[in-house]
Amino acid sequence: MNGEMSILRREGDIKTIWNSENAEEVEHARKTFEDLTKKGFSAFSVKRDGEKGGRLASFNAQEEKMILVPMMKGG
Amino acid sequence: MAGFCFSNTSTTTGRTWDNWNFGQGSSTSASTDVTWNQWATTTSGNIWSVWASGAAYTISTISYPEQTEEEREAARIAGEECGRQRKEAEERAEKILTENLDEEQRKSYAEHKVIPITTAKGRKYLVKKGRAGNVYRIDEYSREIERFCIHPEEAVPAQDTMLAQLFWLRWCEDDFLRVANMTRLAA
Repeated sequence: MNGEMSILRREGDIKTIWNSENAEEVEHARKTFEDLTKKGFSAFSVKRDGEKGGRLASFNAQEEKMILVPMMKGG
Repeated sequence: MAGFCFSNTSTTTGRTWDNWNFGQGSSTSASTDVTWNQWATTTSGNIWSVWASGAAYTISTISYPEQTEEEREAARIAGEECGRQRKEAEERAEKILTENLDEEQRKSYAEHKVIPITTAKGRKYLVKKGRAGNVYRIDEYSREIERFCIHPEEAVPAQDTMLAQLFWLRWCEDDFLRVANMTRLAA
């Protein structure tokens, strides 16, 4: 199964894709996830039409799609 | 500024502020007068006056060499490239935003650039196109009663900002309300 992580950045979203059976790809995605969430990014699991999903506290290689949002601040 | 140092033994019987005001500069000639007076009226003149009028100074202007035709062309190309990248980023952001809307939200966004959302707690919000101060809570009569300013620290495209605001409202409303700056609007 393939997973996809979209990271929202200034230059538009950057995608990281992994095959859940490929340990190297999963590890790369996990490290990216953990590095960014340590920096304050929040991670969300999303499904079709935005109907299901939720906030992710940790990386799960079985998630089909996740979106990482930079740290939020009050304006 | 050595005259303002009170580390010498003559301050042992008084507080620093008293010593400042009554008598002790490091210069022996100042020992009978208050430091402020020494500052303002020395024997050779008023220090402030000397400061203000004594030293000549020059305001420098910086002139830049005129750009060559090649440099102007390179700047124009760089500007166009920057604009193209920004446009591409916004197109990708538009796609990812609409992918994460339900049917009603997609319709509202297409027609009005406004995304309605009802949170798990039953509160209703409108996320308007923008980056800051673009989220409104509405009452049962659809009146805007509160405005929220919250956005990603990084200057992501407006559509990505809206997506982030939607996610926070949808899945972590308490955090949204804790971080956002809120303005109450007249009902």
